[in-house]
Amino acid sequence: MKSKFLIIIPLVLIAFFFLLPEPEGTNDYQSQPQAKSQSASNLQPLSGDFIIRNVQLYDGTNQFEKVDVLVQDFRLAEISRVEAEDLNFLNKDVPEIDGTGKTLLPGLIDSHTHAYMNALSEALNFGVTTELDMFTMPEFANAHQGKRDNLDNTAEADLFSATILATAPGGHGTEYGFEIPVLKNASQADDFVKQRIEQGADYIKAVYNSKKAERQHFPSIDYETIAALIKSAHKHDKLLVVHIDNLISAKEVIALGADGIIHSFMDKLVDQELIQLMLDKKAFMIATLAVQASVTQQSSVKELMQKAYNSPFLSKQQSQQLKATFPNFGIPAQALNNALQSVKQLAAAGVPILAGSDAPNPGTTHGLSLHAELELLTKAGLSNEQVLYAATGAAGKYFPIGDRGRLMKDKLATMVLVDGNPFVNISDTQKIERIWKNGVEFSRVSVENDKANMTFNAGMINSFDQQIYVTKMGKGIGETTDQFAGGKSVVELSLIKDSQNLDNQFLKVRGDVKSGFMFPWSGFSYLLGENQQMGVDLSRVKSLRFKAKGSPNTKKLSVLLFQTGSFRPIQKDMDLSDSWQEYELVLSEVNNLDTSDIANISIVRSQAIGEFEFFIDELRFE
Amino acid sequence: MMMTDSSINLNLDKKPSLLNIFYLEAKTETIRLFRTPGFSIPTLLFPVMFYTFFGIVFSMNPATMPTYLMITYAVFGVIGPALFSFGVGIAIERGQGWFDLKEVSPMPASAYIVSRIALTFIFSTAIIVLLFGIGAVFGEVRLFRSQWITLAAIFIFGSLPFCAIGMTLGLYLKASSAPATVNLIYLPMGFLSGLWLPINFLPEFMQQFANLLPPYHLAQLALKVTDMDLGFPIILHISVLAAYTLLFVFLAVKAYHKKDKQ
Repeated sequence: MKSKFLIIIPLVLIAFFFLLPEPEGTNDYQSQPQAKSQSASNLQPLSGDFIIRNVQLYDGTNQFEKVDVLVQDFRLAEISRVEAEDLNFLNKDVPEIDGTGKTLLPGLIDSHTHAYMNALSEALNFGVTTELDMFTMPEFANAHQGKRDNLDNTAEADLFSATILATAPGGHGTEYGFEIPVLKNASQADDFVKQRIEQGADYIKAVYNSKKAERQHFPSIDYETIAALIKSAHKHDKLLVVHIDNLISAKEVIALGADGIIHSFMDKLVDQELIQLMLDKKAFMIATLAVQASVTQQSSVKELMQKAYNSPFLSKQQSQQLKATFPNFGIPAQALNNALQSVKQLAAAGVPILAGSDAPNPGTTHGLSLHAELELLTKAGLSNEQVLYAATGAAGKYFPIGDRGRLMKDKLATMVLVDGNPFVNISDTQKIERIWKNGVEFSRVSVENDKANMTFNAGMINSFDQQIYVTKMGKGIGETTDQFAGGKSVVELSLIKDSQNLDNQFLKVRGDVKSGFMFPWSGFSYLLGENQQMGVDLSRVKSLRFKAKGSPNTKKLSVLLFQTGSFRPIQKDMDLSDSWQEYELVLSEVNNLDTSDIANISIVRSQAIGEFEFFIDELRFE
Repeated sequence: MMMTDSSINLNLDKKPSLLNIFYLEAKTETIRLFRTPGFSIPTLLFPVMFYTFFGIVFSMNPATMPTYLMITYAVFGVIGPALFSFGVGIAIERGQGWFDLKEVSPMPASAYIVSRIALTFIFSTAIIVLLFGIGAVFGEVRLFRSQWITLAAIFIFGSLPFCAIGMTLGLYLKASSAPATVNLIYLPMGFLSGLWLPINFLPEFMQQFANLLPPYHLAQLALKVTDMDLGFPIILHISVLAAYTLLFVFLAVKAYHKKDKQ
């Protein structure tokens, strides 16, 4: 009896542990920690040890002309000068890579990005192994910050993030349509900083424009607030960096103790006073010349895109981002020269310069734009060594990102092998031969471009005679509201029988557009591809047609056309009447629309807050 | 105290098996505890109830909260029996004179300790099974089998430092005040170590303070398995737990000898 119990209980326990559920699939986030707890051994099959022979090495601070590098268990086990006789790994039986004529660099660090969607994998595809994000939603940041210490996080760049930036109501940062907390006065600063830290911010980013600045182009937090933010961030042992775009603002924030300024200023040349201030305070500048070239309409990125060693690796989305342009803000071309000159003088005086791209602002993208930034820093007059340091060792020195940006014995082999010598020609950083993340080789991705989109021909999408959601082509129809982005609008779709013709039914869209989001909307969306990331080629289709009828409180509706991967639709408004009318949207007449790559067409109410009701029938392409 | 040798066993045909003594003592202790609902019900119920409330019903983030709190409440759960079985148990037995009786009995002292550790392990296992079950069924916690098992092992063996703490408390405290005192240590220590709510919900200075508390280190150790910890080195957490164990074993031995002299 007794012994039976002793056997049964452990058996029940073993059965219990076998019944505990395991995650499904291996790619979801939950499965990531697993590999960490099992540490390196789990990764063994993915990548073995290897030697790179006779390569030029830049370790993030120093250049070594000819070295052999042994990578063992994902780490740099040995770095030896080729001339030295006592090479203990000379005859190791591991694969060898000939590094003659090539340069081994630490994984590059982009010190200014805005990371969302595929940013981190796109970055890694161009040898950028760490991104310092300067404003993204905490949900995205947290999901990826959690992975950065995992050994098996080898398919995307590591993310560090400021999460939400500190700005004034209506200030820079609020224009993107995300509802974010803002600062009205200095008394809110400490709570703001604490909230950011709770949300996982690795450092704090603020946006500031001095009252004394000539351009007052957006509302800014005041002097007292930036002072309080800096004090609070330092009290909590966090770095604080400030977005500025003019000299006077730079001086004020550096004098207050900000750790760094973001962007070179374009209004004036740097003066001795700021140089001295920055040296005294040991402050750094994250130069973002690539975005400044774009904002002054002088970007040379189109040339970079065409290079044979870059173009195959750009995703469609990256190409779109690079081709996009800022509206002409009327900033004189001379402004970029000011920015370049200021960076040069700061660097010459010994002020640390970090390289940042500010991707994916119009004209920039993750990964490639850091290389563009390096070219611009060289153009500004920095030495190639200073430029390489700006994208590696400097970032690691000033930001709390561990050993990233360095190649050191016994540390993880996160590195890029490029063909050529970037100490002679900085563009050689783009001639990427191999990328390793945490000792595991990353195969560069070049798929999206080869894959042509599915083509749709003219035809009925949905006559709404039988049902709402399934369409004759494409993924189908669904409700869409700003709840997706945090708004509160609601919608309800239903089918109504035509009183004159009982065989005919039509779609009734009824809902309530509620305030709470900057661009409220409510209606239905028609997804063409499998998902928002998969576009469809509509170039064989002339127009989108449908019948529509309004109601007393609904005189207008909008058709939103989403390009693949884009969250900013092209909007076309239509007037409705109280009787059925035929509507036609000729696709070729829509400005800036790439008809070969459309992911989603939504028909929504967005013009006015309040309840609405409209009717749609016979949705089709012609 | 060590008087297990032949002089006592004269009347027996053969030496009693040490293992059998351990087993019998553990068994009687277990039966005693299960027959004392005043101990078993709260120690089993508290973590389960709290976890169901904070981790499942009022979960702020259904993706991670059930997993995170399942781990921290399991830590909370396993240190309970350790502190109570040792702390309150020894204090009360001392008060009743039962402790002295056991001392003069031929049973080896090690049996007393081993049986109580075994008891703690049994209760820990029960709590782990309950929390894992609730987490998996209602909280949709999904972990790899190796993670489930590693966690269970960390929880069970992680209760050892708290056995040492409980033993010291039991030897110092009076029977009448022991339950209240142990509760006064157990509940705030659990809260301050971030076992009730994630540690980063607490203000900075409280997070700093948590560094001094052993449950915090056990929780961080366990959270490492699911990569939800704050990222301090494993060795730090293990060292702190080991240091606490040694310190309290030392204090317990001291208290024990002091008691003898009285």
